Amino acid sequence: MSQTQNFQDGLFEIEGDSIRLIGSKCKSCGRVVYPAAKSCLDCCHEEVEPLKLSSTGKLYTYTTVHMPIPHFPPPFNLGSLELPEGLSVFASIAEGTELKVGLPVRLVPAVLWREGETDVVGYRIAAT
Amino acid sequence: MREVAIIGFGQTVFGKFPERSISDLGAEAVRAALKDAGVPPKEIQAAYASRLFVDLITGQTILRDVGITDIEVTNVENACAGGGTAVRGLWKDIAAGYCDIGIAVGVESMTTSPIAGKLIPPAKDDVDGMLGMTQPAVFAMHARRLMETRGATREDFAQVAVKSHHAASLNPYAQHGKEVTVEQVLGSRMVCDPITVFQCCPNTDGAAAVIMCSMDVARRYTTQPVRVRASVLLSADYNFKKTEMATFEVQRKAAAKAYEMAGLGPQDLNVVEVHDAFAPEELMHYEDLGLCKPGEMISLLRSGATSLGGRVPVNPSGGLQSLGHPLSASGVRNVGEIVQHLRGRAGKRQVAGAKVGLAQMLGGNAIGLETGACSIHIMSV
Repeated sequence: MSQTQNFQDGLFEIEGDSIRLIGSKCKSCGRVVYPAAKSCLDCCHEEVEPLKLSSTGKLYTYTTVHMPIPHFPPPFNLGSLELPEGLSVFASIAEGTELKVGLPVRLVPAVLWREGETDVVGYRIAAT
Repeated sequence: MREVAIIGFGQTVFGKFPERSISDLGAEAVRAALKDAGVPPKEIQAAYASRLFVDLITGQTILRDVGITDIEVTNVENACAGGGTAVRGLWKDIAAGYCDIGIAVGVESMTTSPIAGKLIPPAKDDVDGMLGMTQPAVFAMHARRLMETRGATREDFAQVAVKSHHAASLNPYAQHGKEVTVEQVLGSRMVCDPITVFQCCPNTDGAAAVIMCSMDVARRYTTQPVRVRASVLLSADYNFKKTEMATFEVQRKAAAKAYEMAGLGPQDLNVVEVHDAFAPEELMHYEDLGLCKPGEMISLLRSGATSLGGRVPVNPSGGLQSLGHPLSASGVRNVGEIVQHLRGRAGKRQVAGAKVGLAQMLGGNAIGLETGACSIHIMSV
């Protein structure tokens, strides 16, 4: 049985076959950012609160990567999705997902790579 | 604030020279610039040096080899915009009267750097970087937005590379001085779709330097001083403030400031040099710098206006793509390129009758930010 670890702790919560990123929302101006910030990046108010972001959005842009990079053997797809909270999130795109700007997509949990016996878990973009 | 002049330029041939040290490359550019200006080394009062992947006190070690010591030296970094930052720093010092004459030098030895043959790594805690983000991927995603919003085609992107290689074939300093065709560009290895390897800047070693001074001092050395009409350096804002990826907001703001400082507009430009590390991005700069109306970058390219012989040639040097891109040198090199055209000394690639030119440089990437920095210099004779 493989062990699992998050590629970075504190960034997301897995809910079944969905994943919710944990951003932060300003208690004064309402600006939402991801990754979460310690103070508001927009108005500089000192109090922000954690906010679980929507997991569905629209595919904003994409590319197919053909060069080798650590943990991601080519070819693989990358893209960014626009979330209703007013921000974009970047991630790899699940194989088989249609590459089309404007496609309704969602964030899903995924094993991104393995380190020895450990599955390193994160998120990627998939069709809804 | 005094008017600042540029009276000398020097650069090394760009290419892969792992056997050459940073001080060797930098000193060659400095000597060439001093000779070009006719300025004795001991006259230099201040220096700004830019470098990224290099050891400490770079400026001092370069100037040591030319017999220049005992002056104020500042070493700066702003990713690919480091060279533009060095020019900006020296401009401010001269304009404000802190010194009368100085040198701005940019240098990079990519082949002996920790990232030789590799990509610029993101910061260790950069979440996007951990998930596979790289510079070519970023620009490929920009390119996809150009296809989506501007009707850009793969052939358009390839045409930028063809234009770049053609210009470089006329530049004796170029790393990639061979002409290419659209078919060859499209048929070359795919890096990040739609960007093929012939649309990417290479790993380059090189240096460039400019001599800048007050207008009073300039008149002692030349009857043809190049006037710096604008100098702007601006860092980018958050991505969440943008609605469209197919533009660089920082560049638009920097350009507006620069045109205001210079008292002229984009229609007055005869020659332009921009950051073209990847072919598609050059098209974004056409709109952001106001060389054409919003939405018209493709028409401008296809009209031939930005090719040599056109109304406003962009990157007549061959740019980062084909002349080469020693990161921190490029921002000095492209200011110097404009200077050459304005003085009628650009050889076979000379833009005829050039009187006003603009040099732009962009640099840096980090999660959450549009980009790092943008520098813009406008010059005229």
